[in-house]
Amino acid sequence: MSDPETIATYDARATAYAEHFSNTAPDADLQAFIDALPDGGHVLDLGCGPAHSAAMMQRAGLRVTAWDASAEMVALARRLHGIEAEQRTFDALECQQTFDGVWANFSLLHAPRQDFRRHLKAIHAALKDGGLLHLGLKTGTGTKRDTLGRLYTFFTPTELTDHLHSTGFTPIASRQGREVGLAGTEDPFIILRATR
Amino acid sequence: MAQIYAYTDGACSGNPGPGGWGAILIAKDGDTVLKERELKGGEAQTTNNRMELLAAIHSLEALERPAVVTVVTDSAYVKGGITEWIHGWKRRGWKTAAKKPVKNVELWQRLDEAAARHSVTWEWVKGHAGHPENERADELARAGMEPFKQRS
Repeated sequence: MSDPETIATYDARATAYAEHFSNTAPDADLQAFIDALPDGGHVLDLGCGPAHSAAMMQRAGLRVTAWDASAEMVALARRLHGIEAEQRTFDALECQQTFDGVWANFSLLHAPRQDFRRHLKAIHAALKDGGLLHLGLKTGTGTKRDTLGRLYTFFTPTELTDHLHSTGFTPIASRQGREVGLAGTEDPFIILRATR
Repeated sequence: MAQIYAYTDGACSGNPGPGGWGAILIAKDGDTVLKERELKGGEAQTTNNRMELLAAIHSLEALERPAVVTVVTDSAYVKGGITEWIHGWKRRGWKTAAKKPVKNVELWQRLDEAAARHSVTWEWVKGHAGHPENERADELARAGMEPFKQRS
């Protein structure tokens, strides 16, 4: 189940979010993801937000399917980048062996804890054999609503690699650091890459 | 003008095997510490040299604006490669003097590109010799490796 308050926050702050994370060239993580995929490969941007990344992937020659649960984000994706994003939640992911890569960048952290592994399994099923998952998350413990009203589920890096292993993935690389997000706080994050 | 010090280290359990990298970025104005950041990461199947390279790469890539940076590494491979050998490699089209392809070429190219955005001084220190920041970078590298350690 998705969290209505989180989605309402993104609806209300879609433009501010789009401006906060407004890079126009791929960062090292996105470049590595693009480089690892076959030319013209099919990517799902799961929780695409304003579709800055989706647009860069499309420019790099990938075929991009972009989903977000926020109607305002979907509208922004179309307006800013001409990306035909679809308003869908994580629960809508039901396809099999469809994507060469799934880009889930700071989106799955809004899923309730009890749903996290189910979503990972759905992503695993939706990837082709050898397909690549990029997972960006904030790290920590417990569940918290931030000052903007967004619900966060936190995992530790070791919990995350355990969940990836137990849902069939092979984690291949990680990167951890701290970054200032939309709420203005500097939070620890992890970028994980895993293959099916 | 702030001066950035990047203390970097890599670690590997088996060669190849699970590995990690770690870095501490310290922005200083004279002796005053303005800001400090820690970075770390790891891979399931890698080598010590690759982790040493990635520690330096991620340090330089983490700096959004061009900066004056001193990268402090205990890896003679990284220091020697980026300050000396790389010039010959480039002249020979990324081949060694023995005309063999340069190992870890994609990481050397990425490091070269990341370093070109900044003004970088490369410094080598002996590892595990009581340099506090080098010890901390080593701890971070081990923590970065932790999620990839082989399970029994």
